[in-house]
Amino acid sequence: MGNILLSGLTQGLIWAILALGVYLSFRVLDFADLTCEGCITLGASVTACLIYKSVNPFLAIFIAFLAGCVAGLVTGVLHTKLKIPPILAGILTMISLYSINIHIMSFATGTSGTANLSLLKFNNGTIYSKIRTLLNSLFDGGFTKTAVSIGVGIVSCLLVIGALYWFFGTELGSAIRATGNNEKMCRAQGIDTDFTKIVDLALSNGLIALSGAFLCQYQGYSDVNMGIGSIVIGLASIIIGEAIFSRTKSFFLTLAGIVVGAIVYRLVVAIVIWSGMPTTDLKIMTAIVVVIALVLTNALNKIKKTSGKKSDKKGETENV
Amino acid sequence: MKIKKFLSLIAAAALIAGTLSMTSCSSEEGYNIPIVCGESGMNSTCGVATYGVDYYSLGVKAGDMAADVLLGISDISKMSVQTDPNPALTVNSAVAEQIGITIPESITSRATGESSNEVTRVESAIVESGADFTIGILQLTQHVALDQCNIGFIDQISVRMSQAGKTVAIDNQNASNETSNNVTIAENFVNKNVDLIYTIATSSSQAAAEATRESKIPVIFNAVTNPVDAGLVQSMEVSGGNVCGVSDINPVEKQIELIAEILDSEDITIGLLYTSAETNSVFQINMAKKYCNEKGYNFVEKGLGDINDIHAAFIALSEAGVDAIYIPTDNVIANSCATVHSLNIGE
Repeated sequence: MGNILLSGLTQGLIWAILALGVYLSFRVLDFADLTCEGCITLGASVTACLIYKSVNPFLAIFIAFLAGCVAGLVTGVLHTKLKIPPILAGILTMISLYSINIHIMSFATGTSGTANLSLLKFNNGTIYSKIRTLLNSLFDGGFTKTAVSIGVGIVSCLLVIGALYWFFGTELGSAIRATGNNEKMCRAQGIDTDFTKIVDLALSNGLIALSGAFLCQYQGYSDVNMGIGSIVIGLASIIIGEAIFSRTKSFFLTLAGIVVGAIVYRLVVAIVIWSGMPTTDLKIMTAIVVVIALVLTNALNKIKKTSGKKSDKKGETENV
Repeated sequence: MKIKKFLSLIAAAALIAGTLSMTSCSSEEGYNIPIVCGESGMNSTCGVATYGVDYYSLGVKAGDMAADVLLGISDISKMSVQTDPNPALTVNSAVAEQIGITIPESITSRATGESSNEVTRVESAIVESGADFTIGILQLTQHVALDQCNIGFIDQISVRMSQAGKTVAIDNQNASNETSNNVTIAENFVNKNVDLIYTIATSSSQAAAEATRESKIPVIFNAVTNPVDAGLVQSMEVSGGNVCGVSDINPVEKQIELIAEILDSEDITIGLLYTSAETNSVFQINMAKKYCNEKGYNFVEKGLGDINDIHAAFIALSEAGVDAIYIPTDNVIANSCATVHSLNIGE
């Protein structure tokens, strides 16, 4: 039981970065961005391809982040400049990424049509094994793969949350949040809302690709179909996180809540699998958990509204 | 203005002439070359006979490998990747008649159409708890062929266990086509310290291989076309680690041999027709070329850029004087089997 919880925690920390990315489009901008499903695979494919070509994994992860930013930029331009509705813009980028991802993986192997890129033979090139070798040589061994993975997960999540907290405090970051809250008012204030939207989408998809970059190294392969269901995991993580931290008005805690939400989601899936229930019920069980989280959020919000009107005023100013 | 009219007149004439020449081309006699395809679905449209992979037998084969590993009969790191031991032979007599060849009696008598190697499951060998061995099964998604791999495996392992007087507990899991679940299920098996993990489909097998990197729990995979490129084994001959299994590659060598049998000759030229952009086709064609070289058969290969090249490819192949054509399991050609057939018989 303890081990399966650790397994859920490790994966949760990787998916948390994706959830943070989805939060930037879905909640900050109120933009249902489906680029996510192609973008996580993009991050994975780029990283796997670069590790195949013996590039340093840290550099590979950074390039994957940039590749994700470009994908988000494309969605942003499709939406703002070409006036394509959000969902369709996301879908268009997502389906294009399917072909692009195959091209990237084909570039690594040299044979066209490669839809699956294995890192099993390139294990020494992943960030996990590099950090593990480093730690073991520094501290005389004893670091397991799980310990290193959890460490990498926690550090990366903290860095991302820290960076986001700082960024959304800057002038540009505040402008992006304001765009999500009230676009017309923003334009009246002289903010270029097209620009803020594009920046936010680029950042969002950069984080999603970053999550894919960690994921492919952790699971040992990149597959063109690995993005299936990722948007659901992202949304579920956000909603579970909001249910848990429903009382907070602090942006920092909201971000931390999403990380916790992603971990809880993966833990639930891990426990459902561990309990050995019929596998056909896996999806409906996870769906039920998300419904419970949603109902819980609404119920808690109701209690809050009726009981804490005074504290509300104080909090709202901090939130916007 | 007049020049423009004149030009458009010429264009129209050229168009009509082109269409006429094309129709005259397609109303020719046809090539009537016997075709052997990579799988039975394509065979039913344009082929004369082929061996088809039976996923149930693949499951049985994997069950045998797993039993060998569990009972300590063989060392998984020295095992070789297996393929379908008993592919079903199907004959398409309608197409054979259309192109005017007779399939030898020796082939038609062997043709079953369906495989008849069903194993009867021994229910008493499978227990819920207190078993001698525990096996975790990780299947990528709900899919007919993959389900067959699953059933065949359990049937065979139950037989082998009861023969050895042992019992087995089976934890059957399905990732429902979500990559993240692959990892969770594989890690769950490792944490439960199962004696063996059986994986169905490429990405599930890769997730299990990564999860068992330290514990070295044996992994038997199935339904992986190219396990070497998937990073699962060192080579088809020796696995070289804790992962080995069954490939669902169609029996290319048997199919090439079938061509020789149909033509009833050793001195033959085989046309190899495929789409060059498909990794799996290239992989199969390389196997076919290797086998042809071993056997001393001549071959001419024609890679298509896309299906529009098919006409040119046929002309080239017939000019090269091929006796038969081999088409591997190729998605592009599979979708245009009817075109291939009508071109071949000249309709």
